[in-house]
Amino acid sequence: MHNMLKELRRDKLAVIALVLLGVIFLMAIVGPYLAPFDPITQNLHERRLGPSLVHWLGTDEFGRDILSRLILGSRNTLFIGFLSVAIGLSIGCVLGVIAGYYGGFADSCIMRAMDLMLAYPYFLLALLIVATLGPGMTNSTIAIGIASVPTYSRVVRSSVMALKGSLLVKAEEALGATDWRIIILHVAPNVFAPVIVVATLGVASAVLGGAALGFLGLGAQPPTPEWGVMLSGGRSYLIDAPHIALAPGIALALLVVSCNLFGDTLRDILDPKLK
Amino acid sequence: MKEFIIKRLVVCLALLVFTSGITFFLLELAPGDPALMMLGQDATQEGLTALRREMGLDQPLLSRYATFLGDLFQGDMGVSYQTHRPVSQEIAATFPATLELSVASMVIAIIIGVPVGITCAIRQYSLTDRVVRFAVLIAVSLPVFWLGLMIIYLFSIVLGWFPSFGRGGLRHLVLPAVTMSCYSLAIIVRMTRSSMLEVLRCDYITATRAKGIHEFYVIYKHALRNALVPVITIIGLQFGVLLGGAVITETIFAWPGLGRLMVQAIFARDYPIIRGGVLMISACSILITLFVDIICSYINPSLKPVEKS
Amino acid sequence: MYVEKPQHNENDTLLCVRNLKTHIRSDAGEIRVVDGVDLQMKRGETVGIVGESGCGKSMTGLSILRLVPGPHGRIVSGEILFNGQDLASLDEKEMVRLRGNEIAMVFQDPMTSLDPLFAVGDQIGESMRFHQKLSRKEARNRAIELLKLVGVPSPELRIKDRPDQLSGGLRQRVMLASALSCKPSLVIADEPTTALDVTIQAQILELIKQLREETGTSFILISHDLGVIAENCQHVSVMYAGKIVESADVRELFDNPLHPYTTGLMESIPRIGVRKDRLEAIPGIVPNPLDLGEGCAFSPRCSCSEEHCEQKAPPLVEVCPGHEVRCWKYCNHL
Repeated sequence: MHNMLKELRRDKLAVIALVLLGVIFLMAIVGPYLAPFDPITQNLHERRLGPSLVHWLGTDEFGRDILSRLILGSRNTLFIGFLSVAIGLSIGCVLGVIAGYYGGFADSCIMRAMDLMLAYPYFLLALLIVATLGPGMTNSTIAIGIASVPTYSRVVRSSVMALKGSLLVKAEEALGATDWRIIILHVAPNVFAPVIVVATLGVASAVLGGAALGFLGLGAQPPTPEWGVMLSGGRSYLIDAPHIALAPGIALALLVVSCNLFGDTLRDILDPKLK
Repeated sequence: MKEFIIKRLVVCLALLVFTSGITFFLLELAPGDPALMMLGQDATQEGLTALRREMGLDQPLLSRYATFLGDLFQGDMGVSYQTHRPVSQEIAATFPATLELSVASMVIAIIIGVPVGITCAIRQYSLTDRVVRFAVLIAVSLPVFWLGLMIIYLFSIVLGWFPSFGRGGLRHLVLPAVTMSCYSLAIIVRMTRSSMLEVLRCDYITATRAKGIHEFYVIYKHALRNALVPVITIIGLQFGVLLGGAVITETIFAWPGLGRLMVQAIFARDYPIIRGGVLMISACSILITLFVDIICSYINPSLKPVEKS
Repeated sequence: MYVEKPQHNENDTLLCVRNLKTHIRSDAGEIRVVDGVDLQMKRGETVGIVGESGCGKSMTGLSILRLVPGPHGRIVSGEILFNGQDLASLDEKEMVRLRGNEIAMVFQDPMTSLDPLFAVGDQIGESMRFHQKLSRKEARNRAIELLKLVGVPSPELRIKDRPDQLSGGLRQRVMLASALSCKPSLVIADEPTTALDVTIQAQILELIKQLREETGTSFILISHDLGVIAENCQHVSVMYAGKIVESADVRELFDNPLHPYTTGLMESIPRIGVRKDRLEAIPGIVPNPLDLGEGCAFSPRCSCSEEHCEQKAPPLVEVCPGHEVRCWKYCNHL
């Protein structure tokens, strides 16, 4: 752990990424106390104002303060990103452990099902699920989560299988340990490293996917402040008020860059072979 | 070789049947009465019942799927609830636009991505390599829809070089194709770089250099050919990603493609169109995977299953 | 069949390496892989370099061809005089002309040192097509001749095979054929038999011996196996931690090993006919190249190490004509 921190510190970009992530998290937590204005109430007299001392990032097409919407929007964007990863990861882990640990018929069934899901492009699958469940923030979160299940289950499966062949597990089996004991004591900790890496990178793509659905009008619904939704609002006023689309886009890009950077660094640290 | 292709074809066919099944059943789960949607709110009860019978909605689910599959093989994908035109016609009208956009993006991504990736691998740790790697990181993290808006703002509104929406000649194609290629370009650079780096470390590259072969041939004949399989595989996967993501780019640039049609259909709950679109795109990406497998087995013959000789 | 290149004087020097230093930069610092190596060999001679893995013997071979893996590795200093020409100061273009043509190399692992995607015939013909501008067909015919020379059965069929269709022994023969294709005056063979089965090893060594006699090519034979060296070389250099610690003619070295490391190496070889209760192993491990101290690199493992050994590195001294050793034990002879 100490070593990990040391290596992390050597990579300046990773430190910046971590700080950025921290700021965004903080923003999501203390958002309501921080936001200078109400993010929902419209103020039609102050529509599409440019940045000023009162409205640091200007106002949007309904006269709402963009900074406040950005701050409160971070909650929704992070909610979509993390919850969908949690959904995808928990289903993926269960399937991956079953497939990797028990092998045989269960393995073939699960992996063929995953192949089938992978036959759809990621975003198309998410779109199909949203079409089934109907638009909305929760539904789009579920859709993104389910669409990412194959990725997680494959990673988990391959590391479980690698471990299953190891002497450690064979020795435990020879001693008559139960499957549960082996899974919890040995498999889980060793699967943790690759999982945390794909999950971090997964947050990045989930945030992008969720925001894209929001942008299309299939995710979070207006007036909910969510970065993708905010962008789509600014779309029609690109000519005279480009600042409406600018801020949420940059915020989104920063969040995703940070997740990607952090994930890459984690991978380098946890799996030096790939460097 | 023939055996290998036939085997892959069978797998593909199975995938197509299963994806059509998943798509069908998922959308059957969706709420809403198709007959009501077709006739509108002021439909009479008799009309609804008649239409339900005509559409086979009174049949059990499995037999409806069988009918659907049978129709599908004859090119019949049902009728749009909104326009009342056959889905196959709607797709035929919009899919070429999507294909044009995706192919254009892919061409940009490959033409730039592969050489840049090779250059980075040759000059690992150089300034070029570091700059490109940073650019790749940014490019994979940019939201496409935001990138599209910014590109419209800069090149269409401020500079006025290209039109910002619609489909027409080459000029209309530039902005959406560039926007859409950005992510795939970055992924291709990344994959080419890492695959080349791995190959360049191999003994046979040093051995080839020791034979006094010009560096150009070492890189482009030996190293590149060995590094190509993962690159082509990722290109195939990216093609699927492009088709799936076309929805977003098409919406931003008002590109009259299948993606935009599907988004409109989702809002209108026009399930036959959604189903047709999803099937069309997933079928394409399955076929591309097949195609990629075949190309790869030509490049590296040891990849294909052992032949009996 | 095998046309000789114009013969030089029997006794002239083919290769003379002076104070060669090759470093590799790593996260933890600069590794001195080759640390002031001197080598000298006459035309037609075979020289052995022996040492444990990691001692820098392969890197010495790669340095002569200027193929030290970049971007971290580089030749820091030294002269590599080949036919009187300093390779270290040649530009890359001239170097390319020389590689494979004048100096060829055979690598350790025949499984990984042939390009998996090309037919072996193309790979053998490749350097001839570059250096001698042969046509595709000429190169193919020469490749068949060469395969015959190195004892590959039915070469007309084999040239179409990809490396994964050949056994390890055949592949190493292909490597040798490829190395000899342009009739180089020097072949550097880096552990040419290590990755092979014992019986195949003997065959390949026999082949090298035979090729040497038939073609008059000089060889640098790099190996960790003193037995391999003993049978094939006229002159041996023993390397340890990037330095040559002992250098002598084969007979002299085996009859009169001076350096404690050399004697250690010899005692760890099982010998038939000599009853011994146990083989002597050299205690300790190869030192970490990053924390080599000021003293003799072997001193931590040396049975006759004294205090001053750990403080100052010994120079290479000539104990008797043609026998040099780098050990304080022999410095009072001066």
